[in-house]
Amino acid sequence: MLDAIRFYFETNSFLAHGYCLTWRTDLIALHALSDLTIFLSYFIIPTAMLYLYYRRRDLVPDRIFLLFSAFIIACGLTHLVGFITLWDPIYGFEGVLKAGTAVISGLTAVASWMLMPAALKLPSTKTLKHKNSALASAMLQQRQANAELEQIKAELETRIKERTRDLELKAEALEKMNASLSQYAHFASHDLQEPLRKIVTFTEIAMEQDKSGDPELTMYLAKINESARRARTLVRDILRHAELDRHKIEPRELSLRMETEKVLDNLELPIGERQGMIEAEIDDITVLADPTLVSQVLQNLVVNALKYTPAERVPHISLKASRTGDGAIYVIEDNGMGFDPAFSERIFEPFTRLHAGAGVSGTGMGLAIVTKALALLGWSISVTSQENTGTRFVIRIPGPQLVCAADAALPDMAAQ
Amino acid sequence: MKQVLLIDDDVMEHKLLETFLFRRYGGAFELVWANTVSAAIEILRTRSFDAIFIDRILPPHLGARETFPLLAGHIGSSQVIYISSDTSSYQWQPDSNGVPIQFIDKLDMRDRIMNGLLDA
Repeated sequence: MLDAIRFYFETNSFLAHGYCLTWRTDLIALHALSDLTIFLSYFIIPTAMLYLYYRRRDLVPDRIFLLFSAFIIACGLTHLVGFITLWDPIYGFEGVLKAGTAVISGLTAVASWMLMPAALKLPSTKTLKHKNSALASAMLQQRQANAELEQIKAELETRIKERTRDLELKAEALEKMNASLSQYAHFASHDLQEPLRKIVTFTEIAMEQDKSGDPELTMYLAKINESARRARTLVRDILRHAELDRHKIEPRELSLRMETEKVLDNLELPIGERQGMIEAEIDDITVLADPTLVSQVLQNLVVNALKYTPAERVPHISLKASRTGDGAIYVIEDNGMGFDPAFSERIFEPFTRLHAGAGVSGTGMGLAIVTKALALLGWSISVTSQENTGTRFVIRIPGPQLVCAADAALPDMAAQ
Repeated sequence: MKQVLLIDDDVMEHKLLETFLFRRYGGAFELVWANTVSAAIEILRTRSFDAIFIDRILPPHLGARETFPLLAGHIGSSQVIYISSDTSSYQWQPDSNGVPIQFIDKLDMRDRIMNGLLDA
């Protein structure tokens, strides 16, 4: 086998190609230079293709690149051998090389036709130019749209800034107005009430010292006194209602029992005057709330209960507070004149009076003050009533505002 | 005998308080009137009182928060009662440093005096 191969590649029985060219220098040089140039070119071309293949693998399938490269290199090698055979007759090796090149060429030829359908589908330069132009046009439109969008955005931002500035100016103006209104309200409170108070007091003194015995004069004085008292109460209630708008909420831990006791102490005189019966069952509940607001709510509701109990009836007022599943409730119930349940919503609105001419001197502001104070506290209120039987207010205190006994004990424990 | 100081810029308040005190105590009281805080301080330097009535709005001051600190060093053991026609005065209480201060509505002044406001 080895001998057969060696025989196949032996060169002794052949003449170099140069003999055929009669060793003419010009022909030898022509062949030699041409073969070398072709070989070098055929080596450089696949190198370039392989470099392209390495950088742009998406262009053509891998095997086509490799096949074309192998084909060109094989062709190049046949020229290198052609250059050698000018002097060395290695025709056996040349034949084997050509056979290999023939196989690769055949495969490449088949592959090139197989590649044809896909190659034909590749867009032409014209198509690409057209598409490129369309794309450029679309991009231009997009850029114009973006520019318009930017312009709109800038205009919008300017408008927002202007509007914000306007709002800030208005807010500042409102704040100033509010401050001056508050100051105005505060001094109006004093200055409006002062003359009314004097009318009330002096008419009382005048009535007490009146020695004329004229019942008509006494009646006039009583009317002046009553009207001045009513005007003063109305001014006071309107201002109390207005002042809640600027009330600075200062929550503290409050015992509902203690707050109830304070309110009942404050109202000792009016309760005593009516010989009112107070029943208080206030559980030991501590809440985190503004004391002024809590006091206003309780005081107004107890005063209401007294005021709206007919003069001939002894007021029975029940105050009960207890915990519920989701917080606490505070219930204030009386045996007063009650009202038509149809007015259960309206009763909380300012200036609502359901008992005009019934011998009750209300201003219609008490429950409006309660409603506003409760809104500031975050508490809610509901009412049920029956005419001539009584009224029941239920205040609901949300759970998060309750202070647990353990929480309340913490500072003491820390102090120890 | 009740020694009472009234600090109020309105002379009619003097007249009214005098009437109320007379009704409660007959002639057994002495009412001294000062129309400004500084006049009151001058009086308080020389003598003491059982009770001091002070108008809450006393020009040029804007309330108890301004007037109480001025008077605090001169009141001794006097009962301090701020009187006002503005019944929202509870929102204007000064830091009295433990000194008990009362705020009462001027309209209630007569009833409160008749019910023993100064008898404690």
